[in-house]
Amino acid sequence: MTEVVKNYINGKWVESKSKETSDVINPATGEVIAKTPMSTIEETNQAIEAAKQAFRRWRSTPTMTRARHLNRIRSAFEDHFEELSKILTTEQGKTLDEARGEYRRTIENIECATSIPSLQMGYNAEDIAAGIDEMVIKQPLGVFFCIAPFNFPGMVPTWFWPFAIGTGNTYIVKPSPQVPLSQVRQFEIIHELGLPKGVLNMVHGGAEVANALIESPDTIGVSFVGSTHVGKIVYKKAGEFGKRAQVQGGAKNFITVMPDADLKRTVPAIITSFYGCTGQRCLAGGVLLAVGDIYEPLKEKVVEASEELIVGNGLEEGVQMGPMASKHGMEHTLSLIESGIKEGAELLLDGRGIKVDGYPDGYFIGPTVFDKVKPDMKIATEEIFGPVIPIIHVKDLDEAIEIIDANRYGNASSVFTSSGKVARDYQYRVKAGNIGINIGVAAPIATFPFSGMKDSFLGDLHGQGQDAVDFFTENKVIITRWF
Amino acid sequence: MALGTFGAVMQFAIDNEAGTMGLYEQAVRLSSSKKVKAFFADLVEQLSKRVDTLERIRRENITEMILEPITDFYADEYPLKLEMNENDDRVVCESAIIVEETRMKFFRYGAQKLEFLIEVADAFERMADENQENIDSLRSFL
Repeated sequence: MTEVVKNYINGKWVESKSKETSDVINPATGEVIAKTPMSTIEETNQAIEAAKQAFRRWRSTPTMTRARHLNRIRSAFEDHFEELSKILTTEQGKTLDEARGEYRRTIENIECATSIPSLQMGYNAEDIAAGIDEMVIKQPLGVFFCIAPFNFPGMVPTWFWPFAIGTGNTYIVKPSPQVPLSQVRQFEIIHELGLPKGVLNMVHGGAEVANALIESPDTIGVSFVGSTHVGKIVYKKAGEFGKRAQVQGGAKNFITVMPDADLKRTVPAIITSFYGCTGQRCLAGGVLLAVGDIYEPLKEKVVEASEELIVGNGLEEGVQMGPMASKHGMEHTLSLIESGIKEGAELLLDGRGIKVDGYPDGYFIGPTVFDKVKPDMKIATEEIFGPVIPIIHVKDLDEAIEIIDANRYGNASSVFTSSGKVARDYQYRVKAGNIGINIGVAAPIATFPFSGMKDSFLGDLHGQGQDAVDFFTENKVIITRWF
Repeated sequence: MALGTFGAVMQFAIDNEAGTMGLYEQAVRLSSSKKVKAFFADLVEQLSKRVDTLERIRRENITEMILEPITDFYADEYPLKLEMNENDDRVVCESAIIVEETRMKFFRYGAQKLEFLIEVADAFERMADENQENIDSLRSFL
């Protein structure tokens, strides 16, 4: 019988009483490998209560002690690196290298949060008036939680919880019901390390759990990563209930290639950008803007490189692109490929119907390239979240930026060029939170905020780095005069 | 087989080093000279450290920003014969020289292919240098 994963509440593994579950499917084989319970409001409230109770002692635990707990978790994740990467690939589909890359960033986030004793320092000024001093201390607030996505199930929660608990808050993770196993294994590892009960909790489920977390008078703030549609609902509701919120939504990332780009270096970066994680990154390339004369040679080389990509089960070393993470995701991508054809784009490479030996039930789509794409076509405006490169030929940088600005999203954008002036223009003018200069995947490391603009991000403080520390703390101002 | 990803290159390297460790354990058993025996025992220890190093640099150097496909790198160009049956020290050392040469060639070329990952390239170069030193020592036994 397939195992139903458990919640982790107050330092204990707890079976959900809910009868309703959703299947966890290995997308390479189509097999059901576990089930996720749709936990109840009561169970969610138990996790909130546990976190609330734990907060009282945890916030007064010395900051260096909290950092040492994080250090132990970091080391344990290093020890289990390969095992964690394989679990991630099994439930999500991405290749082993991509899973390893995800765990590298997971660990880097925890590493960054071990600097909390420095990052959480306040500041002060003497004599702001005669004999009066003023200072800011950064205090933890209470119970925070995240609603995690399916595309980076190992890493995304660590954009948040290491910083939250490092600063003295307590935390609840709600993993994506599609891919709970990475978090379950992480929590099993953490369970062995002696973190005080209630500091870190996990509740599986869907909208009911998310709503209960937001509506509770005992939670302080939410970190959400997922679609813009759901993100806007979360953000609105968070406002209604007076919560802090940081909401990372969808993306359509434009990759601009200038005529002076070094094609030999550019093409592999483009391939990684569009096809990495089978196009299911929020930093994945979404549209390729070929500027001027680079159009023909770029198109030819991109198709050539796309044809060479090895598609298969991500667990097999050497596979360069795994399956889509779900049947639903595969169908969504296929429907957008259809729309591209209907709207008149030219299909240069068709990844539909790809067969992978030994995996007849996997959710595979091969690399797909569209030419003669118009800026108003669905494949140029909507997030595909699949391995598709729509190419638009533009005359110059101004036209490229005009197209980028017209899009509702602003998560990331990259330019490939040999010109410093073009690079500066690009980073100065393009409205996207993460800019790549000759970088296909502009993924900020843990010490920098994972940025985002327009419909890709709602809120003001981002995940990771100092932004995360600020999100999880209140700047309390103290003005002092001694008689 | 194409070594088209960072993971494929690293796994191939780790498998080769682990396989060679098994081979040299046989060499310790098969060789009759104390000196040669001791040398192969040292090599087994060296290989164990190399496997640890390779596993660590695989974990620590995988960076999402530059997970680009690797081209023109093939496992078939570095075939290793990982068994020994002769108990003649000369034959054992000659077989080991071929194994060291093949791995040295792999690490030298791998360092070039992965030059954008400085720590990996440095480690590969260091390992290739060690292979060269091992070859020199093995030749001294002939």
